[in-house]
Amino acid sequence: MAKNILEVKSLNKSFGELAAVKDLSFEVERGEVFGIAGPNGAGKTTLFNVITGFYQGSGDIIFGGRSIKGLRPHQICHKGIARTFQIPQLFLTLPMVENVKVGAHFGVRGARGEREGIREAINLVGLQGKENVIAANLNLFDKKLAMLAAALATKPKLLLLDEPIGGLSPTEVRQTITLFQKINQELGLTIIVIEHLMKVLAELSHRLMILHNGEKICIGSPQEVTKDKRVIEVYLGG
Amino acid sequence: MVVKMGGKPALLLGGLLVLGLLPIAFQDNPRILNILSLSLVWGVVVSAWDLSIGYARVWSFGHIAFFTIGAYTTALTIVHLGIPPGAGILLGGVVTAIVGILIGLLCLRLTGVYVALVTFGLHIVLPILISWRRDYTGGDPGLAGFPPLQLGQYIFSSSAPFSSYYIILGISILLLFIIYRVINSPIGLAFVALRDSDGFARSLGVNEYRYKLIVFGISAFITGLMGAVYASFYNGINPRVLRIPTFLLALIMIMLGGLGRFPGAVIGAFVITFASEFLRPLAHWRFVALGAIVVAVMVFMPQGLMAIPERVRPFIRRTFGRRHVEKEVPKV
Repeated sequence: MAKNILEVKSLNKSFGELAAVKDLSFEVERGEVFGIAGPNGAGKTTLFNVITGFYQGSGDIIFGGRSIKGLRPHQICHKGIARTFQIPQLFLTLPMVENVKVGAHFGVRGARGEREGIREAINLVGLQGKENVIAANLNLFDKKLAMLAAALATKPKLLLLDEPIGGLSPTEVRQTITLFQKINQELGLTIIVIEHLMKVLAELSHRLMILHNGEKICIGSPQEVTKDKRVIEVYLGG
Repeated sequence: MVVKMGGKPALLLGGLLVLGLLPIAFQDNPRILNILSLSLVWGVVVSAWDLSIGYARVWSFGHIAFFTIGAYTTALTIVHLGIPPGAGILLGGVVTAIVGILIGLLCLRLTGVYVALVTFGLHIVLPILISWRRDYTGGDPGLAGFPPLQLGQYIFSSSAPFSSYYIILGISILLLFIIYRVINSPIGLAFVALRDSDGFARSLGVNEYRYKLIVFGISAFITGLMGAVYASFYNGINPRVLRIPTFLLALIMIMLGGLGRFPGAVIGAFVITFASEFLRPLAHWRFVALGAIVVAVMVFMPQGLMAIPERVRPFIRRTFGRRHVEKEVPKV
């Protein structure tokens, strides 16, 4: 298997006059946790939206050795990329277990093992016992876990997490970090995580990339990146 | 999933029993029997429409047009091509399904209001088409008097209300069962997922184009079939059904019953059809009265009649639940 699970090549995405992502290129290695940080408006969520097919950009995106450019979101899910959203997205009128079922049923090719898949995802995130709670009635932490469980139920190879810890208490943040480490180490899932809190990102990630105004300004290990002059300027100067 | 998504089995079976036995009490009253038949027709039509706007949140405003296409397909093929009535009815459903899918293809990349605008366009185009080829369609007076469907010794026609009611009941139960099964299937899950969070659903592997076409196809087929049944029942069809009052009545039926709350639409259809018939002496004030009903429902029960159990449950618990709470208090 190739060393790189994802390669982004010269990606550009503009909204009219505004260039959200400018000529961005980077690689993500199989099995690593790759962090992405940067100020608001740096283009991080736009990058996720282009990778997962919600927006079309110019340039190329290679996943598992094949280009996924031009594919629609559901096709990219079937290729093995799952994501979560910064503002928790759920099917609020449905019970939690049905939310996970959508991922298990529609996200996996072939009908076998759907029930087990749902059970495994719910157990992994720790939501046992809350299957029949209507999603709208879950608290914020459980909503984020449910969204994650649904994404995991699609049996992805790459997981994109968009600012997963916003609004959580310190205990919940700690639980989340442990969960992500477990998903990465025990399940072997490659994770790309966008986060604001440098401390959390540095703890979680093998490598980090800093974006600013749609451009990559630094990429490397957490130690290298946090000492980089330009990064310090971007974070403390602005 | 069966109970959550739609249709409480006990309610459905109870309703079936009532619908099956009620006409026996009215067998000498052709007017009531025909109103019951009409209620069933509209019940199925608005339930199919509810699949689209209630469950999938695809704002198709073309359903009355689909109804009319089914009715005219049947009428035209029976009158001009001499097709037997039974096949004519089925053809009504099939042709409408094809039209529905074509409209769905047009609306594939559209969302929300834009789907409503495009589909409502059908309402505008159809009367023009009907009027343009009035040599075939009979224009404004429409087509009438074509041979009715005959099942053994039973003639399917409003002039034979008792047996015709049971024929319509049979067809309605079949179609409503199909709708019920769709709602509680993965297709229904996809509809609700796309409705509640379109982006999340797509990221989990739901193909939004496919399910849009499916909802258009299924609801158009059922609606067209009932349009054909309607035309057969009255042995005639004219373009009056395409006017605004029909559309508004259908909308009121769904809202009264509860959007996306099967079988609310059926209940709404019965209430409004009966109300509409019995308010006829009021002439045009009939619509004022119906409008007042709608306003009252929207103010006091915006989620429709099917939401009543949810609203009532807290009261019941408060009044009768205390005994249970006392029993659970542990003895120290």
